[in-house]
Order: sequence, then structure tokens, then C-alpha cells
Amino acid sequence: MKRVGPLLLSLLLAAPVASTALAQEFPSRPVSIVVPFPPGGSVDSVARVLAAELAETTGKVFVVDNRAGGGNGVVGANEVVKSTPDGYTLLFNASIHVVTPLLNKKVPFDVINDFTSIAGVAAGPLIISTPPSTKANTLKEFFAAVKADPDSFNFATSGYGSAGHLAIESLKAQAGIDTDVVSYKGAGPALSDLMGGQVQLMADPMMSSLPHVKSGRLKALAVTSATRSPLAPNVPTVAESGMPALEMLSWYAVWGPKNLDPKAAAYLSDAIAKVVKSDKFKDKLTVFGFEPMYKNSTELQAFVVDESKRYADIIKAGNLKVE
Amino acid sequence: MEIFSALLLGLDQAVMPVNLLWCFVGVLLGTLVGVLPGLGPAATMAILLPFTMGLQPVTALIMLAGIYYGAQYGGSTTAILLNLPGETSSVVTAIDGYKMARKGRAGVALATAAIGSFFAGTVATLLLALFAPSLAEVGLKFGPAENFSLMVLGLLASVVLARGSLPKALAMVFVGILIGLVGQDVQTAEPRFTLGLDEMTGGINFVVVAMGLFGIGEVVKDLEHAESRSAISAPFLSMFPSREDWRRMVPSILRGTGIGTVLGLLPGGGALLAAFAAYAIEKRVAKPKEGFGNGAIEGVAAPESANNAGAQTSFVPLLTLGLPANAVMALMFGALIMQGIAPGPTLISDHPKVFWGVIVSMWVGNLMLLVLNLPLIGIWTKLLTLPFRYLYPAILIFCAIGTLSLNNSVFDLWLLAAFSIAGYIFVKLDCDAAPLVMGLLLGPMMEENFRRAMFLSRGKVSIFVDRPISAGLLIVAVLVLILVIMPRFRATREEAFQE
Repeated sequence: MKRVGPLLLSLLLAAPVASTALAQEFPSRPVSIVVPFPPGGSVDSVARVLAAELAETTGKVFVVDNRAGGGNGVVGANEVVKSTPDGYTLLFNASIHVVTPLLNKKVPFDVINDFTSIAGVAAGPLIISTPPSTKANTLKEFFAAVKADPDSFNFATSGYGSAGHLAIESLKAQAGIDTDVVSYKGAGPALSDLMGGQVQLMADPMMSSLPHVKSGRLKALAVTSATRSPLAPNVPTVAESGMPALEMLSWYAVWGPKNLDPKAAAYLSDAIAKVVKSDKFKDKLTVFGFEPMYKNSTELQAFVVDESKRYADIIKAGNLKVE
Repeated sequence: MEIFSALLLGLDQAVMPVNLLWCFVGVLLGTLVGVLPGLGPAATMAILLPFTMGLQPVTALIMLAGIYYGAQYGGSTTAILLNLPGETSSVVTAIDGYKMARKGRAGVALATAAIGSFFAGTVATLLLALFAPSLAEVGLKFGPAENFSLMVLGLLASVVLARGSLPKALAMVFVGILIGLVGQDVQTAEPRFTLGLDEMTGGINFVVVAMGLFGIGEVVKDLEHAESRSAISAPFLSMFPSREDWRRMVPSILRGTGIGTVLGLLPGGGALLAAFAAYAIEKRVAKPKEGFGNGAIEGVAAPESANNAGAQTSFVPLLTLGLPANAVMALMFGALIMQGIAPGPTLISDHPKVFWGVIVSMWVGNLMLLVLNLPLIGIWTKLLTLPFRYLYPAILIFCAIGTLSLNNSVFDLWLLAAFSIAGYIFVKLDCDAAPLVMGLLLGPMMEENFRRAMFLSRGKVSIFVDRPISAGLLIVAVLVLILVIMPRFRATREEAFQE
């Protein structure tokens, strides 16, 4: 017990020194970008590209921190909510961040009010594809065939509540079909069953689906962006494929805990804007089938509110189970 | 003769000094993490992933692949010397390998494992080069019904393989399945058995359970009667297998290689299932004079060949279809993407240097491992003379670090502690933990595939027998079940596991 006194004293003396050092210039130590999933997925990959570019342009240290406890990214996001809002702990997440609380009422935070929106970073459409053995060449023909023989068709998603799941639910509602969607754990096994003809329709990001479309193992029926994607110019939009227009992007953004230190927020916002608007970032994202999608803090906040409402409507229309 | 020019292109890449260097780094690291219980190739690759971004794509992949198959070599070392499988795929190696070590044949057991692994690695590499594209088609034929039937067979095999009483083994499988059900339901994302904890929604990590049960639980047990473990420090006679050893191990290595090559291709199969299946088949075919479970060299040669062959052929779905078959392959997938290469059917034609470079480097890496391991066996066996008061704390620390490195989650450490206690209780109750681990691994996959198959067939159970591959697998499963029930087999089985 003897040693505690001096230790406390030195801490007390050191504390004001440390805090003034922090106040001088924002990133005086490494900034941790929390990715609430294990390494290797698309969220992690885009986060790593962003972190590397941020480090290069600012000369500061940005570290990707995988906090994967829990299957849906809630644990990692909650750690960011509970962190000090000094700008050293950020959250990098995808559209699922907004969808999860709509499906699971027990999520311990409010997506709109418990975070500070920093910047939108990237977005990409999904490819809706079917095995080559399917006769239909457009979504219109496909859903006509489903209507005629509903038991011969199955729909898949790489994860419950993913952008792809919502896209399919939305199409089903338009076509007036109520077959449930089969959920998989990840794009790998789902695509395997799609190529093998076990299931007949899936909407999935370009990164995992486009190579199979190019090799002819899958037949693309549509992309889920408002206009055709430059990465797959031959694939029509949902409207061109004969269904009511649909835009369903998989998108990525950076958040901080609520009441983020304004100085840190301004610094991060500038640094991220510079990276996202660069050609190099654009080139690096192309590989993943994504494009830069810059949104400043206000735009991102409005976007989250709009998307949340839109997803809630699809979930209601598709009659998805809400816990 | 296209294949030769392709292999030459690969060789050209593989023997470039920088690639040779990183291949060496990979296999050395792999062997090291394989030796250390708890720290597995997946955790290591995850930690190193960001670092590989600075390397050329082919170099990065060569190193990461080296970690994976290097770990298969290393994992057998601790299984044989300490009865602590460094990797889950070495669980069965421990049964006979550890007994061999206790009889003073640790060197021979390690040499057998290294030779078997090298042979299997060479064969798998050649097959990979020759048949990669067409082999992947076999895996594609597997739908949910086939996967389910395969897992039923896998679980039954694990019961047959378990030490001790059959009812206990069955009970352990079910405990494993129940633990596996914790987390979100795949079909509705509903949290099940999570006690309201967010940390549990992703399920209980397999690695944590395996480390707690096999790593720490066993350590605690051994501390009870440390003298029994020191019995292994019997004289370390020779690491060169005798002529008799060679005669016995060659057929086992061949069988193990064949089984591993096929099972590695299957989704979710890989090295683990390969090792279990090889051991099961070996027990049906080979007739060692001392019996299995008593230090039979066949029980080391077959599973070790199988896990290495399986580790290598599990690259096939990834490199030819872009489908990661297991957690390690998912990390390789991530590495490819980070390098700007989309894994998929176009990989071979778009990036021939990467594909063939990695293939040939696997053979080069296996050669390095053989050269690296045979001399190192002396050093590994020295581990035995290390006082336990140093070794055990080290194991505990590595298990804790390994657990923390998975998800940076302190919650996982609490789970590790809980499963360590459970592991000790299971030891006291004389329940083998291997079936539990198999249940935990295969149970959720089985449920997932079962529900998916029922869904696709609109509720008709006949889907499992209407599809020929699925029906075939189920028939084999029924045969296994009949064998188990037959009194004669039960007698043989109990004899085989006599300690």
C-alpha cells in the first residue's frame, strides 16, 4: 500500500500535462477505426484501404481495430458509443449498421442519436443474378416464371438483414410473391448454392458476384443502382429489366460517439474528404466493385435518417421477423 | 504439355529469392504457431494480414499459405510430445502419437508425421496443379442435403472415434451441438441461448472452447499427477524409423493422403475432418500388433498425411471458384481482395503468376518444412525436459493471448476460463472432449443445412434420399451405426482404446 500514494500524486501531476498536450493538436496518438466484424470481409477491406490512405495523406497513424464480438456488429458499435468522444475511437460500418436495430429491438443504442456522423465513404450496387440454367433473361420474365410455378423457385441472401436481403424482399413485394428468403452465413456458401442451382435468385455485392457473372457461372439479371454501373455496363438496371425502379446500395461510412469533440470532428472530416475525393482511392475501390460516395456530416446524418425509414418500410412489407 | 509450361511459370515465381524468403518466414511462423497450443494459423494470419499489404500479391499469398500448412506440421509436434494438439486437426494424432512418445519413440513419431506430411503435401500439390479446375466441380455438386448427410456421417465418426464409453461420447456430441446453437439463428437472426448478452449473439467461438477443453483443462489435470507426464522423458532413442516402421507406415500414408485430398475439397471439411476420417478408416483397415491407442505408428501416419493433404486441397475452391471453404480460406480471400485480386474462376487466366506461383511454392514450402523439421525434432523433444513449472504458465499465457487476439474481446477470456473448468470436470468424469468439439463445429452447420434443405424441398424429408450423393452418404452413416451397435465391434473398439 505504501507505493500507492506517490503513484497517485504523480498521476495527478501528469494529468493536466497530458490533457494540454492533447488539446494542442488533434491526432497526437494513433486513431483507432473500429470495424465490428472479423478481418477479411468487405467492411474490413474498405476500412483498411481508407486507413492506409488516411495515414499516407496525413502522416498520422490510423489503425483498424476488429471488434467482432456478436454476429451483427452490435458489440463493436456499442464500444464506440461508450468511448470518450475525443476522436480517437471511430466506427467504420456498412448499411447493416442501420438495418440491425430495425430487426432487433434489443440493440443498446440509437443509430440516429447516439453517434456523430462524420463522413460517407463508399457505395456500390448489388448484382441480382440467377444460375445460367434459369430460362428467364430479365427480372420480369423471372418473376412471371415464379408466379406460374412458385415451388420451383428459391431466393437466397448472404445474411439476414443484408442489403441483398432487403433488395430481394423489395422485389418480392413488387411482384406479389410471398416465398421466404433462405439465409446463409456469408456470400461464399450462398453463391456456391446459387451456382449449383440449389437456389435461383440472389442480390449480392459486385466484389463477390461479378467474377462469377464474367465467367458465365451466373447470369446477371440487373444491378440495383439507378443507372448502369461502369464496372458492369452490360447489366441492365432493375427498371430496364422490367420491374419498378429500385435503388439499393451497399454503403460505408464513418461515425464517432455522440458529442464528438468539434476540433477532432473537423480534422477527421477534412482528412476523409481529401482521401475519398482522390483518384487513387477511387482506383483502389474499383477492385471491390465500389465507388467513392462522399457525404459530409450533415448529408450523412440525413442519409441515415432516410435510409432507416426506407428499410423499415421494406421490412414491414416483407413481413420480416422483428425481435 | 500446357501444364509443364504453367508449372515452370510457377517455379519461376516460387524460387525468386524474395518469395523463397517469405515462404520460409511463413512456414517457420506456421510451425511455431502450430507448436503453440491455442495460437492457430487463423489468428496468426489475421494479425499479419495488414502487414502483407506492402508485399507483392504472390509473395503475400505464398507467406500466408506457408503459415497454414506449416501449422499442420507444427500442430502434430505438441500432440505427440505433450498430448496437447497444437491444432484441432492434430487431435487424433495425439491418441497414438503421445503413446509412442511415452514408449520412448517420440523421435520416430515426429519423423513419421513429417514424412507423411511431406508426401501428402507433394501429392496434393501435384493434384492441385493437374485437376484444380475440374476438382472444384465435385464440391459444387454439394447442396444443403449433401452437406447435411456429410455432417451426420462426420458426427457419427466422431462418436466411434471417442475414447471411453459410447453413451458418454454420444452425450458429449449433444453437449457440443447445444453449445453450437448459442447465437443468432441463421434463418431469422433471432438470438438463442444468449442470456441476453450481446457478446453471445455471434455464438461461442470454437477456438475458445477447444483451447479451454484441450489446452487448459488438460494442463490442470496433469498438475494433479505430474509424475505420469514426466514418464515421457523416457530415453529419446532415435528419430529414424526402422524398416518395420517403414513397412507399416507407407500404406497408411497412402490411404491418409487419398482421404485428405478428397475431404479437403468439401466445404467445411478441410484438415480437421480429413484427419478424423483417415484415423477411422485406418482403424478398420490396419491391424497393428499393439492395437490403436497404444502407440500404433499407423495412427500417426494416416491422420498426419490426411490433414496436410486436406489443408492443401482446401485451396482448390478458393483459387478456382472464389469460395472460401473454412475460416483460414476466408482470410486468404481477404488477402487476395486487399491485394486487388478478385478470387474466382477468372483467377487462373487473369493472374497465372499468382495461381501457379502459389501452387509451386506449396511444394517448395513442404520441402523446406521437411528440412526444417527433421533436425528440429531434437529441439522439440527437448521441450519434454523443460520443467513443467515453466511450461504450464507459458501454455496458459499463450492460450490467453490467443483468445484475446481472436476478437480483442475480454468476454472471450471469461469463456475460456469457464471452458477450462468444464474441461477439467470432463476429465474427472472420464468424458472425451473430442466428440464435444466435433458436435460444436458440425452441429450448427448441420442444423443450417438441414433447415435449408427442408426449405428448398418445401418440407419434404425425402430430399435427403432422393439425391444420390446424399443418399450414399446416409447409407454409409447407417452402416457405421450398425457397426457401432454390433457387439463384436464394440468389443474391438473398447479393446482399441484400452489404455
